[in-house]
Amino acid sequence: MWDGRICLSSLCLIASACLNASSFLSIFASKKVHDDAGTAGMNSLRTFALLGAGLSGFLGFATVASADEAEHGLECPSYPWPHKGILSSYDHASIRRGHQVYQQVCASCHSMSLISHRDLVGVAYTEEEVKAMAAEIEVVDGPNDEGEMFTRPGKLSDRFPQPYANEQAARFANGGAYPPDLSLITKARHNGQNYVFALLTGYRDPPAGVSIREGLHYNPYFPGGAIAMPKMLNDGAVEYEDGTPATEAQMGKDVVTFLSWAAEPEMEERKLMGFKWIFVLSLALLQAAYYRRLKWSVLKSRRLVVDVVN
Amino acid sequence: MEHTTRRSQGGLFEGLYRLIMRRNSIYVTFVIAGAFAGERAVDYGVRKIWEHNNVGTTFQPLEATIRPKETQLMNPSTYEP
Repeated sequence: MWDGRICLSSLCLIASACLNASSFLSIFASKKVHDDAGTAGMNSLRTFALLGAGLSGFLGFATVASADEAEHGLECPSYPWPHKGILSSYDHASIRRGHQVYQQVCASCHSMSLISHRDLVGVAYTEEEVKAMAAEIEVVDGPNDEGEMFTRPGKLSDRFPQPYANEQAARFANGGAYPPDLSLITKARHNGQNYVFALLTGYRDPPAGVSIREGLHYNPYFPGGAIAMPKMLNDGAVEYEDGTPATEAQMGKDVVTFLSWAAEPEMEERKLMGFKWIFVLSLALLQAAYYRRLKWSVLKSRRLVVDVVN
Repeated sequence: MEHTTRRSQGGLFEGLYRLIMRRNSIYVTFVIAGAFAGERAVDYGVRKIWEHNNVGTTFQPLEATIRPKETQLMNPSTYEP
């Protein structure tokens, strides 16, 4: 969708680049310049002209590339996640709080059907805690000896419960919008962790002139600006077990840490493995370089004698 | 000529050569055992750096704060007979 003003400014910049180039080229077209074409002064003038033309052209394209807010939503900032460094683990206390936020705030509409209760053991809860948590849900289990399906309390091996039976039920209950499954959401969205945090905490009144229809809410980070989900994170919505004050930003940080863990539970092992093997392979690189140069030294230090008889 | 006589007298690499690389069987054993021991050492070192860098955020300190008795009360099947 072209924004008319952006199109015009990019055209202006490209036109100015062409004008720069053509003005310099018209100087070159005169006879005197042709005579001086090889001199150092003219060469440096030409390089400056080419640089100027290139820079103006590039800037022209840059304004077009960055004006994608209507398509991609407002660009979200980069937050200093505690698990961001090459040897940084997840904050497991934050994962525990984030799971609590998910259970109490998000699970009524969003499923996380790829996560099992046993995944939480040793990450955010002990085995007894997760068993107790799983036992609180009812799970439909396979046909019994009489051929009937029956319900039983949940076990560690069961997946997280789904709020709706299928996508159509979810859409029907949410005005036609489908609340996406959150198991992989931080990997499924560009710059997922920062995007989800900015989205959850980014609800605000629409600017003057922008009207959102009934049933939708304004969120500048959502592509299009109109999202079906209302603002869910409000101060004090959840009472944390460990006594941390539940501000909007705290809940947002915790729930995004939980979602990051859910999408990438292998992150800590991956970072350990990566650090170890990059270290080992760089030592191996040094050994290989030494060995190669050792074997090649015979050839590299030979003397060639050209013995030509005239 | 002079540099060859100097080298045969000693040095770290000379000593290492005499110890490991005289016989191929000893060399191969050294490489395999060295790889095993070296990997254990690297694993230990990297884990130590990781634990130093992530004080307080791993699961172990969290586990220590969880009180086990509450969950046992909630779920009587975990009582030992």
